[in-house]
Amino acid sequence: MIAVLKRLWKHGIGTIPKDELLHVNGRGKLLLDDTKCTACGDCVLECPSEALSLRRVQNEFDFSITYSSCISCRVCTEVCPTNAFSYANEPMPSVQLRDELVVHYTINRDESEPKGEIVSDRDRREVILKN
Amino acid sequence: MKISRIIVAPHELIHACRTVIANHGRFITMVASDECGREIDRFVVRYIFAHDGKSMLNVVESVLTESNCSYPTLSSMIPAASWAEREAHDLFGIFPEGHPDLRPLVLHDDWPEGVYPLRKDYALREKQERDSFSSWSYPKVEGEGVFEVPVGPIHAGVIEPGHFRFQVMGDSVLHLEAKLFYTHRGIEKRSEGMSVVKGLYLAERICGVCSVSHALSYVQAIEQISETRVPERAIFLRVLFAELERLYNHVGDIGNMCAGIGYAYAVNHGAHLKEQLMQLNDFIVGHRFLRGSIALGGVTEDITEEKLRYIETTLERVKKEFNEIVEQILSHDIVVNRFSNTGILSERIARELSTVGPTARASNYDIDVRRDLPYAAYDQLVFEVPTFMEGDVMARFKQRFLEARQSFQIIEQVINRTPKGDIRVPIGDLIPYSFGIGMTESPRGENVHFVMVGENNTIYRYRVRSAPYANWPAVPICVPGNIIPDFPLINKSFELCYACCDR
Repeated sequence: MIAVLKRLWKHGIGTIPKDELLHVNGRGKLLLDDTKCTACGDCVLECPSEALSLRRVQNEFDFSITYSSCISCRVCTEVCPTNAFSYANEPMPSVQLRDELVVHYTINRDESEPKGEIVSDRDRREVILKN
Repeated sequence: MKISRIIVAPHELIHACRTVIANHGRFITMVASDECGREIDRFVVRYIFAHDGKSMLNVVESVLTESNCSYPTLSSMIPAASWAEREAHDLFGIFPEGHPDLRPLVLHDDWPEGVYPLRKDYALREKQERDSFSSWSYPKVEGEGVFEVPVGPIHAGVIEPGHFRFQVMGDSVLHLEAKLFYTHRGIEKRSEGMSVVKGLYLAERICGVCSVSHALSYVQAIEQISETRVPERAIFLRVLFAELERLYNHVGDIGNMCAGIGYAYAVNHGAHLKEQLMQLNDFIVGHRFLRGSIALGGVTEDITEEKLRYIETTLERVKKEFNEIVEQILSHDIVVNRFSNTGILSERIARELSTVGPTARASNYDIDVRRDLPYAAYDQLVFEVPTFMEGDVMARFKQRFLEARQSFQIIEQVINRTPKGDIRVPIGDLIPYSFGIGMTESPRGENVHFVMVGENNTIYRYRVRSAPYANWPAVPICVPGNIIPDFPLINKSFELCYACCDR
């Protein structure tokens, strides 16, 4: 009994001091280095939560990351042939509207052989490859 | 690890397996596969045995033709093979002749007859009409004064689904029948045709709390096929992650077991410590369950010297509090009264059902993959494997406590001894249709992954025998003779996961 009371006095009931709470927040926000990206589309095809998409806009590519879908699983980092992905040391952004959680990158690679437009289709749950 | 293969005709399976067992082979699992794609007619069954201490596996193989896919059962000789054979019967339609209990296991009674989802000609997203009028048949006790209490599959509380039928006389349980596999997600089917890189992420998600262990088993199987030599630093870091996982599980379980008797003080303090360990995980690899830490050919992230020191100081604090709490729990009269002589698993049954992990070790069945078939850097580290004779809830509680203390020691050694160097190497070529078997010791016991690769670095057949799959058959045997309110306690003392049993 005395031991229990002593412990309760020292630590409280199952609490963590406020200043020690959540000092880290997961793996962080996924970032793309658009100078390294070759728009090959491997990551888009492998992403399990369809958070990535790649569209051709005339001579350029529009690459987008949807943070509301990203589960920080690292598949994109693993399959990327040029190591273009990294994780920022900051938490995932929180906003009011879902659409604001999408970040766009414009990729202009003349030397790369474009595979075409890769769009993830939520309803059919499959990835379409168009030329 | 060396794999020696023995290929026999189906009717010779029994003799071959008897010889392997006579040579001290320990039955691990049976893997069935449909290999029509590589011009084999058509099914292959593989019985896997381990030779503890020799770092060797025996695989007894046999080919079953499509026209005659039956073979004499081994369940009468090896009771532990019963579930695996029933599963193969459900998913492939191969027929173990003379099996004592061929009721549906993985696919429930409402699944149409004659449809076998793991055969290669079954499409991935094919849907089946379920027969909702079918009923579950099971053995039961009947008579005057015998009542049946159904529990689940939806439970009060955030636990996974499992259905239990108790036949009781007053408060005492006469018989318990468990129905599992409500969370069968078809992970093995899903993995077929998936690239080996992506397969790792699927393996990590088989179970919530054994992510590292599942990932490690998977990468070890792949590395075995490609004969990759993982760098020294990476194998030490793998041990670090595996032990951190064991630690947060054991610490959490110690608290959770007290929930079985309503001892809220210990539950909360256990959760408090577990939370500290999970925040430590988050700090070092960026995930509370340590997902994404293991990579093919090494580990994904290097742990800096600064992080190692942080782990050291955190664990120092947690260890002190952990000892304090366990001392308080064990000095509580009610705890001792309820834990002792409850849910006894005898050594004979533990051996016959090939149970693994803390469950087996608390019943004096001394097996531990880390020592018997060493992987990663475990052969370079010094640790003990605590065992108990009693096999009751108290023994399983104390076993977890002592094992957690060993984990603290192992992590201490890893922190001081991790060499410098690379953390990752690319994996070599994968020869199509070769297989590897990865074995690790998860917090719940031995975790076995069988991976066969196909062409273009894809997975051809993936079979997971997790620790709960081996331990679940033992639970219904321990409960009769106890009272109903002891069931949650017994169930928690095994601390089995439904998701990685059901897959």
